Amino acid sequence: MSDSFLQKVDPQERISRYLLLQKSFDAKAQIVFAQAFKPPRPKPESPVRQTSVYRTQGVEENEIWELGDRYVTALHPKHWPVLGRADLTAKDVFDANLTIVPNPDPHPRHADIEGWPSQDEEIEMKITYLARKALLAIRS
Amino acid sequence: MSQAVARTTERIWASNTGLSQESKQLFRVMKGTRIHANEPLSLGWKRDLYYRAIEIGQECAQADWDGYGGAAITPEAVTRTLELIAELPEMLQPPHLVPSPEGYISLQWHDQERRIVSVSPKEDRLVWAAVLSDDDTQYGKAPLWKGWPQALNEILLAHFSNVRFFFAKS
Repeated sequence: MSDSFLQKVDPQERISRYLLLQKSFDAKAQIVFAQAFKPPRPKPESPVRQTSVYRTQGVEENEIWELGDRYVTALHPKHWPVLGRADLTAKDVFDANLTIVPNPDPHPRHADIEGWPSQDEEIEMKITYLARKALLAIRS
Repeated sequence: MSQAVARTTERIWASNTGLSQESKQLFRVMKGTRIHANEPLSLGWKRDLYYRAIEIGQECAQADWDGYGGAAITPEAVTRTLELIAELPEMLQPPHLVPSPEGYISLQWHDQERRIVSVSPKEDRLVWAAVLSDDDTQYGKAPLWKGWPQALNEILLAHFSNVRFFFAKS
């Protein structure tokens, strides 16, 4: 994996948010709920609001799920399985005036959506916008 | 559930609330009474949503229900959601109910054109956002005790109504 991949996020790149909760989506209606993108409130140990995502452009479908198993489920405190994912393009995130910051821990393809505003209603608007753009992929 | 059979004049409901806590409390009680008095005998989709909200409250009653340290959804948070559902016009499509890691239950409407309205009843205020197209986004907040904001009501009725109005060209 080249350094340019690590540093530069191309607007056309696919960005995937793994979904571990049935309550984050409606498979029948093919809907991802806005709450799936909600960044946790800042804490002393993580003062910046971040939504964890993976940069999955060019990765085979089965490898994307494998990435979820090895770096999301395995590291999850309760080891909940990945049930699906919300796919966006990086452009969708940029259009919401958010940024994608590569964060190669625990994997080089890991990144965080950052630049969240401080006002609740503005966050609500941005997560709703991302939900509009997201395509739901269900694990078969 | 009991059904109040009441006939009241609108004049009783029309008074504005004062600023004290007692006035706000009185306003909420009157509002609840008005909603209850106007409820149809058949609750339609609202009954399902009431049950769903209570179910989510039970499933998410403990902190860390999402495995990432999510705040517990308290009975008070469930009650806030129930009150909002009760105030919704019958002619609207039912929303999805979605628990938030911040300890409340959001109401969300989606349609096939990917219009989305998300409404979150937090402790003291209602936070909402409507994304009707890529270029048409609206959002706002309002004190919770005031109920559904007018701007939000208009958006919901315009885009998520079960009733469609057609006007014939003359």
